[in-house]
Amino acid sequence: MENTGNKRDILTAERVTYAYKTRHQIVYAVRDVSYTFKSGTVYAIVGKSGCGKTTLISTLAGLDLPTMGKVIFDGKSTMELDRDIYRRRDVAVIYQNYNLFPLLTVMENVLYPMQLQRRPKKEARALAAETLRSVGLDESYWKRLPAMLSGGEQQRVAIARAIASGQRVILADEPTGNLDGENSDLVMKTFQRLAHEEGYCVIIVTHDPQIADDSDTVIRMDSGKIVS
Amino acid sequence: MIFTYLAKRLRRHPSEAIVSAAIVLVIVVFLIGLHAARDDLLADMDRAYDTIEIRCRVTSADNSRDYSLPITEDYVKMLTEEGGELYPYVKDVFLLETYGNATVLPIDTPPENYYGAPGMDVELHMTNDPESYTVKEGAEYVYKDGYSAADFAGTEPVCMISHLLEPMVGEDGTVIVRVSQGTIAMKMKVIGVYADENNTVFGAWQPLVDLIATLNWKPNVGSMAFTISDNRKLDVAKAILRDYYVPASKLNNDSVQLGLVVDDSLFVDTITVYERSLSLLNVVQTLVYVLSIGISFLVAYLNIRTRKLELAVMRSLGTRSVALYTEVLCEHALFFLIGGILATVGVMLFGMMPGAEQMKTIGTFMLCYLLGVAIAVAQATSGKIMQTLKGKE
Repeated sequence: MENTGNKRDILTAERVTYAYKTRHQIVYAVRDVSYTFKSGTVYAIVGKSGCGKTTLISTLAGLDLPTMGKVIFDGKSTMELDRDIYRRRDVAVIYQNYNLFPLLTVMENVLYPMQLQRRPKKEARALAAETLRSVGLDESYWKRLPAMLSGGEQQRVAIARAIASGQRVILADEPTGNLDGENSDLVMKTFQRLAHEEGYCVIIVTHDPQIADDSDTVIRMDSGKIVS
Repeated sequence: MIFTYLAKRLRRHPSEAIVSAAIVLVIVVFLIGLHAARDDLLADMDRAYDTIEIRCRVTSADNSRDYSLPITEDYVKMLTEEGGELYPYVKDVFLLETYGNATVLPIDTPPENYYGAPGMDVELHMTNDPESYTVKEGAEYVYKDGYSAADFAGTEPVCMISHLLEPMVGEDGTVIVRVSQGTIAMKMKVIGVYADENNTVFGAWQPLVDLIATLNWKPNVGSMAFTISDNRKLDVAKAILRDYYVPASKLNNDSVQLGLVVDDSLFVDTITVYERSLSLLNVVQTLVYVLSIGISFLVAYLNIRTRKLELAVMRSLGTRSVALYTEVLCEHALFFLIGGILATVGVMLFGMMPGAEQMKTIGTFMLCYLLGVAIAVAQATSGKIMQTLKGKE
């Protein structure tokens, strides 16, 4: 199933450590993690709650900066990059609770990142329409508000929003956590298709063994470190 | 993009705008109302300053009488002549001398017979304003057409006579008044009648002063009153008046001790009430002002806090902080404008016209409101965005 023909290093964590202070101590959420993620691959990061999976995703997404070490995208450290542009153009994050804009329609949600990129309206609309269709949401969904969709449909809108504006890395934090088996399967199939057919690098944080099984590579974390 | 997003939000979720605008509206109406109340109060106080007359009168020291007093020429000059110490602070100075031993002669008396001719003994008052002479309460002054008390301040020999003297008036409307032991007399035009049972004649001050000056006499002012010209300078005037309060050098040799009554009780009572109301209103206004700022800050802050997740999603999608602040500040500025404009139009419909001062207050209020918004946005977007996005905050 894995497309091995079109793989290149796209995102690298180089000795990434993320620590934060609480009132009484310094907590090391991620410790000295080094890993290179390739395009065209679905990764599953698994581990117990609090082992640092989400923090790792957050640093990979440029939402946080590593305390030590660096995250390198296409040869450049996120510390050097304009991280707003990095998030706008290069990586997309998908969440368990979808995080769609509740007052925007399906189409408007997908258009939002493209508007940030100042893409021409027509082009953006055409791309959004194509992307929505590719995740199985036809025109009848486009004018609906997120509240009018099922969880699976909302997550597919979130995926469409993530990929429509051309990001090549999808970071998904427990994307199927709120979905039933059928919808989980559908979302996972979408990720696999994006990775294997379109060359996306999909990194999924999950507790779901099925998702881990369906991924190309499983990364296990414990106490902030990658253990296997 | 900001405005497209804003327009969509407003269209699909107007309640937020309505609530925010309504709160702004209520506060702005309240602020304008308070300002208007304060302005009204200040205007009323100004009117009180301008219209309440503070009369002062020279009296005997025991305040038992204010006529037949030995007021000297120096004292009069101090009030009536340019350069006089009290001149800048007073107006409508009333002068009166009771020149008792005068006689009204029959109108057909030839001038050569003025001396010694029999006539009617009268009480002559030389004055520049007969109406200020209030010895006899309830007395009524009736002026002939075209004349008034102001004519007594001029140089024409006019007079007002007791109705008992009307038979002495000639066809030309004059009476002959003989003064000073019968040595000199003057024809005076009768311009009014004073209803009393005494043979009283009020004669215009200046012509009579000029007349007796021909005998090298000067009138001894027996009664004097004046008005404070600018009530805003009352305190200064009072301080100066205190300095000149019956100065020994101004007394006649045989003098009765003089006193000076400043009748400012009505003025002081009125102004005190206004000042108390004003200081109370100032306290209320300050409280409302602080409260308004607090409420608006809180409203903006709570409003933004409910959108913390939305703002975090925006940030995660690559929206710049500046764009985020601009979007939210524009949105709330719009809410404020809607509320502010409705409030302004509303109060204008009720006849209140917000002035520059109110606009300044509203402007400050708006700045505080937007500061609340900005702080809330800063607070909402600080910290770990990922935690917010995971719904853990």
